[in-house]
Amino acid sequence: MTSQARYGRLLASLSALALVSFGAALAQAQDDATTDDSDETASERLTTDETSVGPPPEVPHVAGSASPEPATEPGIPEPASPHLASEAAADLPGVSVSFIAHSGGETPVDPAPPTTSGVPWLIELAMQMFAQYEVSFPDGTDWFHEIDVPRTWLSTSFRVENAIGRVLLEGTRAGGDGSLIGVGGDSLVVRFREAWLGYRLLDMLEVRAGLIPQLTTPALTSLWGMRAVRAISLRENELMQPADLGASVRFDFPEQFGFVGIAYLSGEGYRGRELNRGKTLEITAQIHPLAFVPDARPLTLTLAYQNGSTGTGSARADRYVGGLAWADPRWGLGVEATYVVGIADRRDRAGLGLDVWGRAEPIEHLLLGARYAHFFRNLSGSTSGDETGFFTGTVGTWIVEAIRVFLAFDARLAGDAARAEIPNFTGYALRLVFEGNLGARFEGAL
Amino acid sequence: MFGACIRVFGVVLGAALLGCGPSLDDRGVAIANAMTQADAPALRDRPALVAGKYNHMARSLYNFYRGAVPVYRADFRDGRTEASRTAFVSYALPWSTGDAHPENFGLLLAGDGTLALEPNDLDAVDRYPYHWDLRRLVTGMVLGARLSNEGDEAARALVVASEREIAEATARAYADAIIGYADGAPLERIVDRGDVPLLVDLFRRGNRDLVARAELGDRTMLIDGVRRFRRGVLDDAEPENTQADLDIDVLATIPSLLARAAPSMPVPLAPDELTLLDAVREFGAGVASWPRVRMVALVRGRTDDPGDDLLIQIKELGDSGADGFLPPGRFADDVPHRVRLGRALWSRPDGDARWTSSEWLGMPVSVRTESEAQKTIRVARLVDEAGTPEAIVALGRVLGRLLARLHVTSVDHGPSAAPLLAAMVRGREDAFAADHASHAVALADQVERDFESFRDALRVLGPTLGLRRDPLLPPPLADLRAVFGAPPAIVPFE
Repeated sequence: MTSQARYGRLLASLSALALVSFGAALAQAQDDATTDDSDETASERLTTDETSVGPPPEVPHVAGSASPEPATEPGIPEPASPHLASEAAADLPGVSVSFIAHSGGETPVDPAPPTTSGVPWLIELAMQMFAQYEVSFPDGTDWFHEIDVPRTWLSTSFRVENAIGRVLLEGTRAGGDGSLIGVGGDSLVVRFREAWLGYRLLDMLEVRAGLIPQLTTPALTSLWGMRAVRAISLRENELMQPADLGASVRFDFPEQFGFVGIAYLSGEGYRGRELNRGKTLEITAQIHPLAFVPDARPLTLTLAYQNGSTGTGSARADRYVGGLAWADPRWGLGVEATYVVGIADRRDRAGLGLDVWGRAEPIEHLLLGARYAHFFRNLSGSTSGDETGFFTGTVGTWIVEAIRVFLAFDARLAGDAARAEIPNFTGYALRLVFEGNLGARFEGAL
Repeated sequence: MFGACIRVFGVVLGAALLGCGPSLDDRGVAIANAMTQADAPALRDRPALVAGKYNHMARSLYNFYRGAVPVYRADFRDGRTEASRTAFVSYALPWSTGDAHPENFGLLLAGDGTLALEPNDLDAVDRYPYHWDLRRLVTGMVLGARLSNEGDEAARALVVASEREIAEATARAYADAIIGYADGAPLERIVDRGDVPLLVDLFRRGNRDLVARAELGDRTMLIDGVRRFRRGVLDDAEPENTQADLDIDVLATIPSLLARAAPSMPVPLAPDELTLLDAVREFGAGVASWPRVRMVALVRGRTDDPGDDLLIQIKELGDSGADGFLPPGRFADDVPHRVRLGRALWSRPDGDARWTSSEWLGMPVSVRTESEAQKTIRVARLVDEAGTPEAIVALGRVLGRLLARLHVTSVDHGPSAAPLLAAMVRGREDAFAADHASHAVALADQVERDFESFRDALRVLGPTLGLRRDPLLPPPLADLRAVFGAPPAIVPFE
């Protein structure tokens, strides 16, 4: 079968799955509208990163307080949601405690503001873990299977009045890809992914400095909402980093119209030291243009631009990103395109990434998702077939609200030139993925 | 006023983003980034040694080719150059030494005292695409042809005119051998090649030095009947290649290292051969491994006669150039495993009777025989009768066949890659040879341009290609400095 035919078949499969998911979600949504209030539960469960969807809502997170119930806006993915709060909350003397189940993408969900009077403070402790068993069948060679822990996060977020901060630790292998020598062989070790302090002004303007989350990849990942199953292609292809050393300023539009932000960064990412005098500028806007129409609020437009440099030779690393999505908590569809100038330290190389994805929860406990990414690796070269395709389809459920389980199918394709350059990239794989999100929130007043 | 502020802001922002960056062409940037990314840890803890490596690479085209594996790896993975292009793609990932350029083949002294042509660099053993190796070998042959017959332009021109024939012959020999091995031909040990002038010379000099124990004369001297290493420059033509004293605390660790390593040698050192007489730090050897810690130990032979003393090389090992082409990415998952698998690629397990691995002060090291008999192929010796087109074609055929032998060798009880590789090439041998020859010649052109870009990058970015140790950091610990030693001053490449 030619690679074009395989692409065509995969795209057809994706389209069919998306259409089925779309139809099922519409039918379920109609049922929900006439029967019960389960929508609220679903929206709480399919949480996303609030950096992508607007300011932290003034949502009370403390069960037992006099505050109203979470005010879920119809059609907007709800950020930090206290799924377990009503079941497992306690009040200590002067301190309120609640349990949370955040589902972060490329950065933890920011805590909602404290709800107490006086000089309010809060501390959130959270952990997120992805664990998976994968059986892979690379073309033309032996199958392989492995147990892996792709993500282990432990985060602590702080807020005292308007001062905010976070430390995020993640587990990683001690050595890089292919390294023989790390800590104690190639052990799983802990490193910092985020460590920053910030200030939030008028609940609209936020400044962060330190090892900060970048703006674009968390915003797009949160729309997709199934990071445990698959990263967005900006991350898969290492085209943009999720965090870096630097500072950012972000403005949240009122009425949940979205945000615009700018970040000034080292450019080498959170795993590397600064290697040149050039710095990286990232500008990101994520807009809900129809937010004034409640039913149309999930429509999301994402635009981003990065002017960057990497390496001692200051190779260009410029990115132009555009995305359009419908990001309802119950279902979503999206397309993203990224024009890349400078790939893998090659400033003379341009590429184009195209993503299409869909997800849905057509009935309670049933999660469906599919994502296809096509990457033209070298638009500036004369070689044809230097392109890769990567499809993932998944079916999942949640055991308790903090734990989701997915069965995923991956298929990787490559054009003729790419097959020579990355042998054994092509093939398929089956994965069983566990995602766990647990946390506790402590707040009080001084 | 507002407009002026905007303009000032724009200027400041532009300067900050661009960083007033150095002026390098696109390729120079790519080369500098690939090299510094690969060498970053070493650049931070032993910058003088990495600067020495870069300087050595800048001295000659072939040195650059040997040292620029990180560039080759980047090119191979992104398809920007000819490194990985081919119409003959195989899913097979054969075992290999990982860097099959001609100067990584040479004579090894086996357990029975005989010399054979074998791969003599096991630093990067793992599983690779077949054309990773074949492209490296054929391009190396083309570069060797272009560098042949130094000082004899007429002879060199004759060879360069035949470079495509040399490339095709090398690739064709590989293809023919793959098919032959798949059909049951035995894996041969190359102990003599009377029809290849360079190999005739190699074996002649190797056997001469084997008998003469030339390494003892070249590197040591007798003082009151006891053998000791010479110190300082060994050859005035190579002023950076020196033997230096080891720190006394470092020296004290050598006997226990040898005792740990000896049992795993193919032919273990006898207990009475473990008496350490002397040891030195060697600087300025190799190209890619230039910054690594390299020591030579002098141990007492089986008798009191100083003529049977032995030299043992101890070299720090690091990560290989392999990038993980297939899960789990790294098959040789530690250095002992890598060395064991590498030895399996020889024609006999005791291809080098003393080659093994160990751990020393927390570092993985290889331990092997140091002997002047173990001559390496050098493209600089493609002169006179070894420098004719026919002679170089003949050498290419031998090395192509030898690479095929490595690729079909069953390692670690795994299946041979021979059937898969033979299925790819059978019946299309001519097209296969032409395809690889075309790409290798084009890549050799690219390497020549890269060489100039690399030299430009050194001029613009400095001796460590722009990666600097933070001056505010405290100096490396004294213990670490003692291990790395103080290298001799660099003789600038220009």
